[in-house]
Amino acid sequence: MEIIVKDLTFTYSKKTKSLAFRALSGVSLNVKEGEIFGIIGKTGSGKSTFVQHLNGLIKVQKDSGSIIIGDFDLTDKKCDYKLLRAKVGMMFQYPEHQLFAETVYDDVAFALKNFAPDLTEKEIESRVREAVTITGLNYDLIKEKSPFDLSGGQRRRVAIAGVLVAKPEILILDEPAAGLDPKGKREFLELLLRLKNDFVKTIIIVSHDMNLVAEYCTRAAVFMGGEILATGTPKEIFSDEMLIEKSGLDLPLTASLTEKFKVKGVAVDSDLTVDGFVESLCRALKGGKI
Amino acid sequence: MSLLEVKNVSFSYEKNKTTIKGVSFSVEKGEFVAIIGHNGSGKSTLAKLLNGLLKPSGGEIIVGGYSSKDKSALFEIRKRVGMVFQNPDNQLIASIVEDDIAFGPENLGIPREEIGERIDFALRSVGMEKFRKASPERLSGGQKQRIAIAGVLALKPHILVLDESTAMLDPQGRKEIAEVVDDLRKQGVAVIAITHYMDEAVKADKILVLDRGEIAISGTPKEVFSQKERLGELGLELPLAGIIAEKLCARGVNVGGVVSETELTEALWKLL
Repeated sequence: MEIIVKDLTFTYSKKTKSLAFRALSGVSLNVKEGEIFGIIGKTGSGKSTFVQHLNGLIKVQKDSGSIIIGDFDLTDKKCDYKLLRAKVGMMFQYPEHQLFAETVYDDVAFALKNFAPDLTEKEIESRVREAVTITGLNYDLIKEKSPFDLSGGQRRRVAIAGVLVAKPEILILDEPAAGLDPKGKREFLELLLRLKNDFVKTIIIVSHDMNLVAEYCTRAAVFMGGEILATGTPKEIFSDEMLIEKSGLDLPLTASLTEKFKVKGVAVDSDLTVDGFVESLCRALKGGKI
Repeated sequence: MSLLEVKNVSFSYEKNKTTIKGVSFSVEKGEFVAIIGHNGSGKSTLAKLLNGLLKPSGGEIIVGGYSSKDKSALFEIRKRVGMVFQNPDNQLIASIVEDDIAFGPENLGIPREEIGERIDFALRSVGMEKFRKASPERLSGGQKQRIAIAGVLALKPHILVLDESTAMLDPQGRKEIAEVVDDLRKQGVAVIAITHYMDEAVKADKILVLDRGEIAISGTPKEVFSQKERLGELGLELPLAGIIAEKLCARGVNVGGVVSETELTEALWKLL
């Protein structure tokens, strides 16, 4: 499913003039199937308001642009939001705070029972097993456990299983790695890559972590003051000095090193992933004086 | 005398299950100590022990001469050790910034005029003077966290404990807090930061690595991050600059065991 957003504008408290606040203005964006797309920008730049539109948590306001996701037209009054939300899964920041059921099984099954009330218990069981297993957890060992007895990394896996169980095609993740220790973070991001290949088609990541964006995203959009300043590959975005200055974004370490080398007259041309950067740097150094 | 002395401290939430085991360290004036460790290693429990939110079941914590063993000293300990948690929303209570900051000093029974001065001082320290009359709910995450820190600074603590206080902030917010921390250290306030960001820990004077409630490694960032394999076993990894350095070394670009961005660039310039 391709995501096509055209000229989207959104105003909070629209009817109360004194409190009205325009969070998005004229946002247009296309995200193709198969992308890992980054949404970046400072706090308050409109990132969350934007992604909440994509699964209908925030409805498109009247005469305020359009959103088409696959066959769903979100400006259409008859849009089936329930089905949309099964197809566009959303994982919020610290999703483990939303775990509530007594067992892992009940928690993961909850969403599915809502999306697909006609499934038999057996079908539900098999879907829950599949979703939990793909996150790298041992289903039989964990299904009867209380989510509250699990480690931070395990809880986050259970939370994502609760999204995956509905078989979404698009996965939206808000700060997916925040609060995890370094190993938990790496494992969780690797899980996302695996999901991307086998289970979901498109991933949208909202993050402040530019190293993560440079390493994992195919493209990203830079938000500022409710508008999109630029869209492009990490390389295009982080090598645009004007854009970086204007948007106040941090550089990923690979880009900041590339920049420093440029000042010294050494061109390191890479995609800004760690391995890509190391590769190009070695080439640049060996082609030079070493 | 050290500002803070932790002597062989243990703690259990439940019987037969120790969460903190025989932890000892000390913190000096103006020192920056980072505590790192995997999720569930006991970092936050240790933080709560430092200002008496939890009471050690074994050992002793001494703050400015007051011992955690002495019940009546709790008040004095809390006056000296300020805590800032991860989510400022859980720590801000008033509807106007200055009221929020006044709350702590009011509870200490500080005279009205002095409270006014302390609010000035606290807001100035975090660079939020303009927001004195603002409503905390209308501030950004970084601004809110700065107000939460100001609320603690108004108590004039000797030690500031930051329990993942930057985890929910954007890079700008993290930078703001880092600047506040630098300023405080210049004034002699010691800072203990619990963090998952290795790039933050690398800036500390001393790092304590916790594992299952015990100190597994301690030392300068250089000493700690030279033990890469041990860190891996403990669920941690090198700061990104260290990872890049390692990959460069593996490919014959010998930059040595550097761990911070500054060290990495310095090592690389030598090769140019």
